[in-house]
Amino acid sequence: MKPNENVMNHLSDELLSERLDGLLDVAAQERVDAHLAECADCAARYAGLRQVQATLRALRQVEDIPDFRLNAQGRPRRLRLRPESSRPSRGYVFARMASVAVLVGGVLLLFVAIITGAGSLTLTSHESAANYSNAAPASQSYPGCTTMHCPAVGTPLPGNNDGAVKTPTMVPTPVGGQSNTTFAPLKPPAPFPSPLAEFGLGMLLALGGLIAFLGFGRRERST
Amino acid sequence: MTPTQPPASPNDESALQAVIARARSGDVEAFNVLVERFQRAAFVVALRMLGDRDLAEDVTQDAVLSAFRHIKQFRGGSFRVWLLRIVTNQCLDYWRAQQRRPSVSLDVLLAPATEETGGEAARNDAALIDPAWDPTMLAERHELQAFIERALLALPEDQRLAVVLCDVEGLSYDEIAEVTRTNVGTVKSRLARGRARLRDLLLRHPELLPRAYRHDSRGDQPRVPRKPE
Ligand SMILES: [Zn+2]
Repeated sequence: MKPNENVMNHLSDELLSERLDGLLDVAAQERVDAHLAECADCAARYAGLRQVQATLRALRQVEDIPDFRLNAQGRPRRLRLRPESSRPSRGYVFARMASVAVLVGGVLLLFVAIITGAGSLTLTSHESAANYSNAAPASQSYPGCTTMHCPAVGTPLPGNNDGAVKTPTMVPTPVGGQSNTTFAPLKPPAPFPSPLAEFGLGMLLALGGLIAFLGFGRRERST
Repeated sequence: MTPTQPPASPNDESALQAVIARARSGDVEAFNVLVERFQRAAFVVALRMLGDRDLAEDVTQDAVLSAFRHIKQFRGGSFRVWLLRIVTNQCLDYWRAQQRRPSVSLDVLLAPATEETGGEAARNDAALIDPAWDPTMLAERHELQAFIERALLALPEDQRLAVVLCDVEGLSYDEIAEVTRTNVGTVKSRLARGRARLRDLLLRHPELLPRAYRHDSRGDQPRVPRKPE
């Protein structure tokens, strides 16, 4: 075998790759083949490419091709193999985010309801009721009190009391000689969503959000 | 020898066009005829691109479903090319969603190539001289295939795609350019770089090379039949 003569002009991998696919014109192919016959380095690189290509062609053989046909409704017949959807749909992501938002909103509302509800409950208790009536008559500042708040107080009372116990600093309990102004802004004007309504709505939202969140999770896993 | 599909007879081609027309009007049965015909190509490309069978099945199914929903966007040409483009996009979407590539670490592949084996690989280069061997006889070696299968995943995606579409699936340069929305020049260069990289990885593993290649058995060349030209 002759030693390499024109080492300067080795064949590029791109040229060898095209030679491999037989896509060179006659003149170029003759030139390449002449070089391959002379140059051990390029011949070795070319032989390696042929080995790679032959092996890749064998990778076309795959056993057990699954059936990807659709059913009459245009849906896949197969079940997904990977339980976690690798790419959840935008609608799914949005629904999940929305349910989380509702859940958080509900919990926040519950929290607010518990705080304000506890505050107003302390006010309606014996000693503070009188104290409060000094600043503003209950009949005026609590227009909704008799209609929606007070009658139902019996049921959520324990929960509200718990909240009041847990957050004593947030709800200043009015004591005898203390000024009313310290807690006046907190509860007397109890705006339309009364603490009870807030509590109910918060409960509803939190529950709804939770159910939606869990429901979406399950649905995504099953598809 | 350009790797291409066997040419379809005119009859076959016109029958195919009729099926495509029915599928375009929403006929699931007609669409399923297309699926049956091209699902092997779609699945093999997904499998070789992703390197994971379960994942490739889901991705192929997603691609088939997407093809059905968007079949009105198919504007003639090769249905196989169109479907493979969807499969390719699904693979890219998957990688994007994962934010990571299923790449085999180059370190792992190159690990044995220490100084001494590197020198051996260089000597092995010299042993790869004889162009008379028939690679198809030797490519059945299972370890060799398993190695190339793994090494494919170490390629950059564009090179891997070019190599899979050309050498595994047998598409022409033009078809690959269409699938990957690029030009033939780019396809050539990706193909060349991908193949060369696979070869260089392979050369660092002389134990995987067919025996006729090895340094110590060059005297045994007659065992490799000369390929008739
Ligand atoms: Zn050379």
